[in-house]
Amino acid sequence: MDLYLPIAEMPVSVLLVLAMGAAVGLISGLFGVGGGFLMTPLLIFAGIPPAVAIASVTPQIVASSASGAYSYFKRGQVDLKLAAILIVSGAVGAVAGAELFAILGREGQLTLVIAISYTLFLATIGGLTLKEALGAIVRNRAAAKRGERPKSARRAGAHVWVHKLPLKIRLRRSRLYISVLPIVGLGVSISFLGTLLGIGGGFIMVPALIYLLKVPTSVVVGTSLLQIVGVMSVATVMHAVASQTVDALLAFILMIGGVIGAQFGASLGQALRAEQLRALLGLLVLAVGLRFALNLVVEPGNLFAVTVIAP
Amino acid sequence: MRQLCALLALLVATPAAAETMVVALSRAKVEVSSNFQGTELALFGTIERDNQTVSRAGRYSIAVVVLGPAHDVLVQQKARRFGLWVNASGTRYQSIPSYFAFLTTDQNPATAAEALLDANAGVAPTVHRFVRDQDPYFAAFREQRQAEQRVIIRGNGVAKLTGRFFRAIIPLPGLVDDGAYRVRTILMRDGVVLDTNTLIFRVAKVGLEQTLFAVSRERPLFYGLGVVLLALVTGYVGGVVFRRR
Repeated sequence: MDLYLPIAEMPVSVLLVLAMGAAVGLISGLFGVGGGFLMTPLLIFAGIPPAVAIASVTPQIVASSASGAYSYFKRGQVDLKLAAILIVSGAVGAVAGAELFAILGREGQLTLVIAISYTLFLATIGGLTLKEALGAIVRNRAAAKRGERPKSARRAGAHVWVHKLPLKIRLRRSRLYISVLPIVGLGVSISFLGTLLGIGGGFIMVPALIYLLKVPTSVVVGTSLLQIVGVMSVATVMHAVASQTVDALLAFILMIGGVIGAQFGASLGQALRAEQLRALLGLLVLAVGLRFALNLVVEPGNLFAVTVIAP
Repeated sequence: MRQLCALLALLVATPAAAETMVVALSRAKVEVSSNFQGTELALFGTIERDNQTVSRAGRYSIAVVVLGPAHDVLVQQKARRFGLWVNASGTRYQSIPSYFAFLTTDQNPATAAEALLDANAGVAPTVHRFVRDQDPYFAAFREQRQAEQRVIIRGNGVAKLTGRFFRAIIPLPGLVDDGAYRVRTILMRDGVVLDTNTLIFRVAKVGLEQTLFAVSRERPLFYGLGVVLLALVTGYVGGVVFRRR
């Protein structure tokens, strides 16, 4: 069954898009990540123009994070002040990201920038995750041989410089008294990247909040989810205004698929160990990164790129 | 004197060439709905002849040119820089038809294009470019559009059913732009244009597709906010429906 997408102006197979949404939803439920970094590449590889793919995945991220953010909020596991600073600074990053996105589109360089960014980004994140997870697996095996209980993964050392910055504020819910500067820095940079690449950025935000700002783990996930909902909402509106490439129909099909897939993923996730999950996620991220790298390095079949600038 | 006036009137009323055409399209509007995957339009025409003219049906040649709404296109050549394939030098084509079809009674469309140019027909430069331009950038553009069925160049694309009656099939792919499509039919004989005719059909999205598209272009802020609301509601409802125990 094919459906005509009004903004992409092309027909796509509903089942294919639904299946991709469900597959990514499954993975996001399994690993507890947003899945934007997989959804966007999948759509691009399936032939959706990168501009439409990124701008339409953005609202899908809002949908997949909204219910989680709401339930964390109800349980009081959100630092509202921290989330508000992240969202306000994130809005600045989102506006800049959407503007750059529109300019790159007009210059016909969007596809290239996306491919390079994804390659670097996914290879780094995937490599680090895999290394850390494999290390944990090896350590646990060794510990099990010695008859000890497996130890939890190492905690990062104290980042003293973060706590020496000026403009300190009190975050009551997180029981922190820290400078506002690293928070704003994180908010701006992650949402800039997220808007440009169509990713929520939860999988960078969560470790950054834990290791860099020492935010207690009890509020980290809820705060990060609320931040994603806020920033990706701003990013959706900005994309709709700046490049007009948000396809509501495509986004809606992805949302439906994602919501369904996430449920299966969550129950599947219970059956696997945390390190194994992280190793699998690392492999997956690395594989998508390599796929992008291959496109960049291998001589393309068609040596010309045709971009429609204005309708 | 009276007789002379009558003769003059007759001369004015009768064009230099006595053949004219009547052309009709099977549809004036193509509606793009959610299940649109392309369609076809049929063009029918007859050649009308006054009594003085001798029938020479075999030597008529007919060309049908379809021009879709214009858009701007950037064609870039990929080149290897620092080991990576990047979009390098490019050429911009301003307001080029988003859809182009050239259907002829001639077997070879290139000769038909040449004949149009020689006869100084109005659309000849555009046709000539699409059919014969060998510039590598334009050729790459044409090749991609041909693969998408948005450039169609077809010799024998106009069929003469009888000496006077002809038919052409205009294929439209799923990937078409909205707007007015001009269909120009040119009747020629021995390198002389006898008659031309222009018809217009419109391609328009209908229903939900049309509403979404129009709102996204005319009120982008409203559209963006609407999509965000949709996402929040879907996310919330999804969470309620599939609540984890």
